[in-house]
Amino acid sequence: MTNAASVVFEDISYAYAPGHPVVKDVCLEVQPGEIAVLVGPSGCGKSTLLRLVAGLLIPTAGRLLIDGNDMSARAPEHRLVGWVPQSYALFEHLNVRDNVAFGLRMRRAAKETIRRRVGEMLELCRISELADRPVTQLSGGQRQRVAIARALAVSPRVLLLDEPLAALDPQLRTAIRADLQALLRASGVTTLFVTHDQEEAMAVADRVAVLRAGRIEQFGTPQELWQSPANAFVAQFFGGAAVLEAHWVSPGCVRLAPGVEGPVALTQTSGTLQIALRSQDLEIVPDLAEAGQFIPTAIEFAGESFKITGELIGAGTLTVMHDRPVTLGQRYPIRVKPGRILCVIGQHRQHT
Amino acid sequence: MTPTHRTAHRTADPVMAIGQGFTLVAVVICLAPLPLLLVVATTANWPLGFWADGITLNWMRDGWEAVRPYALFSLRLAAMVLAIDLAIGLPAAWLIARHDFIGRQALVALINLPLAIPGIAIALALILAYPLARASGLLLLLGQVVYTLPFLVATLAPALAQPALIEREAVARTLGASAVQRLLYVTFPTIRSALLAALILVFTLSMGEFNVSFFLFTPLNKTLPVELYSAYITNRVEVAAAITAIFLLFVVPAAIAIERLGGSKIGQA
Repeated sequence: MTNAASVVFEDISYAYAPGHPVVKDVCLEVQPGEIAVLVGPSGCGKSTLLRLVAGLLIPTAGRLLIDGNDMSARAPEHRLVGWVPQSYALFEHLNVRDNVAFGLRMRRAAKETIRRRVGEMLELCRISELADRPVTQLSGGQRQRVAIARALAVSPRVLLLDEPLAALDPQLRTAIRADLQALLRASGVTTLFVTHDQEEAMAVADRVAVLRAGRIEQFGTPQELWQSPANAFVAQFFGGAAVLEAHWVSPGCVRLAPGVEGPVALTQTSGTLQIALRSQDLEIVPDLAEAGQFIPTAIEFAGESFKITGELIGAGTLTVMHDRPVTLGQRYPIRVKPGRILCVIGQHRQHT
Repeated sequence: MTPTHRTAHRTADPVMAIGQGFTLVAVVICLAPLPLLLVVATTANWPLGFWADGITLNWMRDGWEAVRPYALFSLRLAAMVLAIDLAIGLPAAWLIARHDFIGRQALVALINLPLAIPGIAIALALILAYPLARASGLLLLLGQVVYTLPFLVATLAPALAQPALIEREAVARTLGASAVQRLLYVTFPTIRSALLAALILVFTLSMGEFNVSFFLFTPLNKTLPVELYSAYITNRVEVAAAITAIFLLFVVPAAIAIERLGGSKIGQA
């Protein structure tokens, strides 16, 4: 399948009601064959973006290009865009095979073409043995595969997946996520994948767009977003970081709190800056004269170690990993782990 | 929970026990007339008692001979009512379910209005408004349409408004299905049980309707229930019972079918 197309959002806005836009001036360029993940809290407009690509909604402003062609005037039935809603929306009066064949039948493909293509799709999605089952008898993971096979059967230029893993048991999600990624890579189709789960986004994406309140906060590879968050929201939502104000001590060194200093990959020395602090950045140490003070307020067992949330005196709430349990409410000395370079927010190069 | 536990729990609950007792009594009171009706209809001489002078099917035969033209008329009328209800009610249910337009509530109220008005009033209003249409039987048809339409719309509108159906139609659209294809291959199959239930409901209502029909019938356009009434007034009680039994043969299977299609979902609005 090599008809993957690029998808370009040009200053797209959308409002369900006048004056209440849910998507605001979105610019995004997804490359052919790329898996782009749209991630953000619920209500940020990510599902609306998918509906705009499918043509189920028409932008109130801006243009949508697929493969360089303006889609504004093209109805959903003529866009060749596969859409898999969160519910999968399988046709429950049809069996698996007829669900997958649906699009080809509607497009009046030849009988032989339908038979061959449906066979390929069942194979690709590894549901051949379920072909004659009613879809009402399938598990969540199987339903998801039928929905994707149905969407891919018409050789869409773009595949839209809306929270494809949300309806599955949490225990199965990680395994099915890996399968899904392999399937998407094998099909080679350009994919827009919506999720609210940053871990899922990191796992499947070539590039991630972080959305907040209808705007794109940052678009880049998972590594870029992790290493150079554009702002505090991206650092918190995508990186799971605590955001702290820091002050310059000397070129290349900042202070987070009294007694807590660490290196940054910058040499400028004026003004304040924001640090995205991860749980691996700090460590609780045995008595140390030059250390900050940390008061644990919650502790979670995390297998290899404990995840401890608490207050860094003079800075704010954050999380550190520690290999032993701690007493809540007691003061512990804390410092930046030797060798760690702190992540500065807002230092990324603008994406194009 | 094992069945034993459940039984123990039920009998231990006095409210539940009283409720079950009343339900049983109500069922017996409601169903008792049916076997009695069959006994009367098959008794040669009912005034003398149960199966006095022997069991006979003569009354049933006489009854059927008497009502046959009216039964056939009622069937024809029901078929016409059904066709007109569908032609008006399906698009109306679609509008109500899918579009939030100005006057939507007014349309719902207008369609449901006949439910709140006595059938006699509907009939009189129709006679006053269209006196000339009565002789042809057109008013009878119109009256039944007005009376049955709310039930059709109230059954179809919720089925058409299901978010799951709307999403399936949207998926079908992205897969290349045209508006007609979506209607034929997604919408109708998805709402088929509601659609079938609505059709049977309208059919049953039309077959059994008395209030409106009693005022609008003419000697040439007389429905089965209206004839049933005349039979009670003019015939032996055995014939009347036989005609009632025949009437039930038309209506009861349809009622059972509705129940099996998920009766609880029908008629909600």
